[in-house]
Amino acid sequence: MKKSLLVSMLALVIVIAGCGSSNNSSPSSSNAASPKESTSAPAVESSKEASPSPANADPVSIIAYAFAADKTEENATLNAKIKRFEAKNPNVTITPKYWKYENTEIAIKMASNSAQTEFTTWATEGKLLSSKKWIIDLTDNLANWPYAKDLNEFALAPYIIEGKTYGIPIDAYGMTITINKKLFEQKGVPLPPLDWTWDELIEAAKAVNDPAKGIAGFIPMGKGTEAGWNWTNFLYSAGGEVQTVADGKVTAAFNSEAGLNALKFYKNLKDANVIPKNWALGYGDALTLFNQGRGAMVMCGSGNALDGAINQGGINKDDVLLYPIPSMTKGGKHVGVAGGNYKVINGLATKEQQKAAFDFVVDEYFTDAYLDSIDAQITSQKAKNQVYVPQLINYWNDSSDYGKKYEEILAKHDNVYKYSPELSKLMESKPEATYETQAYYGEMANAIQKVFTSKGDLDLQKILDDTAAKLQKGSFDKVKIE
Amino acid sequence: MELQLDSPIAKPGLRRRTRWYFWGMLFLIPEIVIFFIFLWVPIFKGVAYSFYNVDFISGNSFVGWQNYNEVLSNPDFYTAIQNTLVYMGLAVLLGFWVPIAMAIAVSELKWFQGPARIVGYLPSIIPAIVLYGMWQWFYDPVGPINSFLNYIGLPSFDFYSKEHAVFSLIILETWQNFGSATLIYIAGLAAIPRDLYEAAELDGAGVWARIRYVTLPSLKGLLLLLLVLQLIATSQAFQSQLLMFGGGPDNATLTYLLLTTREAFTYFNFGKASAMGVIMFIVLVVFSILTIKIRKGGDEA
Repeated sequence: MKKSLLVSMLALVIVIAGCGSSNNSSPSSSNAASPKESTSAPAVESSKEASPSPANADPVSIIAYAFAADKTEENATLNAKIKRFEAKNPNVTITPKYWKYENTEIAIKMASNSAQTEFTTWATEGKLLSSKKWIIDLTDNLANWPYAKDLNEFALAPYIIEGKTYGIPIDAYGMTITINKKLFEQKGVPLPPLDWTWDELIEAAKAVNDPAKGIAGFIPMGKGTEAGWNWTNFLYSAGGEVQTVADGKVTAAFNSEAGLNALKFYKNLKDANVIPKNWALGYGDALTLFNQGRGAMVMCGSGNALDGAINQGGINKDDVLLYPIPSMTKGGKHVGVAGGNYKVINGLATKEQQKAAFDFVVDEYFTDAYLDSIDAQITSQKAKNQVYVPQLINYWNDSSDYGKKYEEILAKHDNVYKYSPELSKLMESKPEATYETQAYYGEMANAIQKVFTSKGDLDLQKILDDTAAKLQKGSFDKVKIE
Repeated sequence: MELQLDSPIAKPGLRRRTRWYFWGMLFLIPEIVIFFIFLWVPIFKGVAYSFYNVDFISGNSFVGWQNYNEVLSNPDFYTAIQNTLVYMGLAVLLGFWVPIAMAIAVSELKWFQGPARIVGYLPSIIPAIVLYGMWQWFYDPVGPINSFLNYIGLPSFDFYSKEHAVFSLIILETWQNFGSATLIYIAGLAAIPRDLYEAAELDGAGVWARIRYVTLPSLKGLLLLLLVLQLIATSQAFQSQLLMFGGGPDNATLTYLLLTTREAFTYFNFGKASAMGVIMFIVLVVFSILTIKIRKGGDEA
């Protein structure tokens, strides 16, 4: 009896083992239906069956990209926008649904066809999503949209891929370094000049560093792809490139002299003991440490770290400052990574849904309704004692009439964060790499961790060369440029 | 019920047996259907996809053994296998005895046995997100563990270094998971006949002798079963590795399943990830069959 019980328990073990390995393949296995069969959402099919009238505007149902439930203000703004759109287009039904874009979740969402008809994504994702055909080419839609020419070219650039446009910019950022001024004051350390250099960053970090209290001078991200993203700022500011593209071939270029300098800079940070002992910091972890006052400097997209520090971390808005990425040498360029948020249209939706989703996305672009909604958001943030941190770059050109109207709205309120004009003058932002960017960031994270956790001398050039060789073979060589 | 009412002589043997099997099969159908949809189909699809370049939109394309070739030529594949084996081994060395010791200690308690069981099980019900936040703080250079070490005059311990990262994970995992294994052992201990202990005591056996000669031999079957279960669970570990260290530093905590999820969800190579899943599946099936064989051999001997 005991024996048979044991045998059956072990049979169960085999089944559990099967479970485990089937987990790995479940995202692909859920794609049981052929792609074509799965393209139309059930909601649309039923509504089509319900009203088969051949009117020139067939009913269409789409799903809009909603915000998390606690973002009540943003969701209210979206719902109002949906109502206005539906009133103008009675054949379109829009349901808001919450799912926030994550590069580790998008594949599951596409495999199960459960991503929204229009969703927001990041600058890095354009090439990847378009090559998988998970988002559609919007070139024709944009040709028929009168405001297409007014879009900010810099913001639009990452989504123009091989001559076709795949996304509509919402806003864009350039990387900055956010400084906790209070920690400098507490230690009696003078603030570094705004046109600072790498050495000045290390000196400032050393001065404000206090490991006994768990305060780090500088918090670079060290875990996940964000580690590579952070480091690329120094690669760019040293004048380096991630990759070069020639004759339809992508070649790794970050193991250059600039790359070596940037990695040496990270080694110097480690040797100066100014970074947290816990190197395993992802985006959220690094910002949390900063908000807790456990780090004096952190790297992030324009005002994002500052926004979190003031509105979630409870740090006074006068106690945080924005600096550009330091230049390698005095008088050099302050180049940082550029990125942003984009609206894209789901490639699995039907043609009608895609058209409706595009119309919905751009419906209030360049209109007063959009500006009014920002105005309302700033007012409501003021009621909650919060500060509105605008993006440095928007979908419009700052010098346009629309840009001026926006500035007027910001000027009306006293709870709007004002960027120093000098910062904007110093900052230079360079778009992220186009091909296999996440793979590059991921591999660089290993190299960075090697630097952050190894003791003694390291052959930094060899680390870079090995990383480049691995990426070249594993990812870059497989890129097909059409 | 119907079967019992029928006279056994009136029906020919074959028909009776067929009817008997018919009802048996009928009751098994729901289980078979559920297993088929949620287990066997994904397993077979996983095997099929390992030979395809998976593309939801343009359709899958057959690539033969290419996924397997790429998996086997990836240096991270071997790093991940090595890390997983080290993790499995260390988890047995450092963690396997903890629930046994805890179960024996709890069952030896004269009072507060119930509360002790609950306290032991509490870590298992802490949600993952809280758990990792908590341990990040425990392992922090200024966290409670290092503060205590400094207080008693010892140097700080770097839980995040390349050498220590895997130990940090095993401590965390053991702490979180020993509760459920303890409950199983306590149940096993309760099943040991009291008279064995009484006889041992009459023969003058102390606590250690009772544990050595009565408790542990009686738990032999359970020990082996939980060892196999632990090995299978640790061979598939990736959650704490991902959330605490992201597989780092420099791939020091990159386990097999973490590499598989990275391949699938960071790089979107579902074919390669399926190939890795198939390799894992085969290894675990062989391992399970071997364990059954060894166990059977042991019983016969």
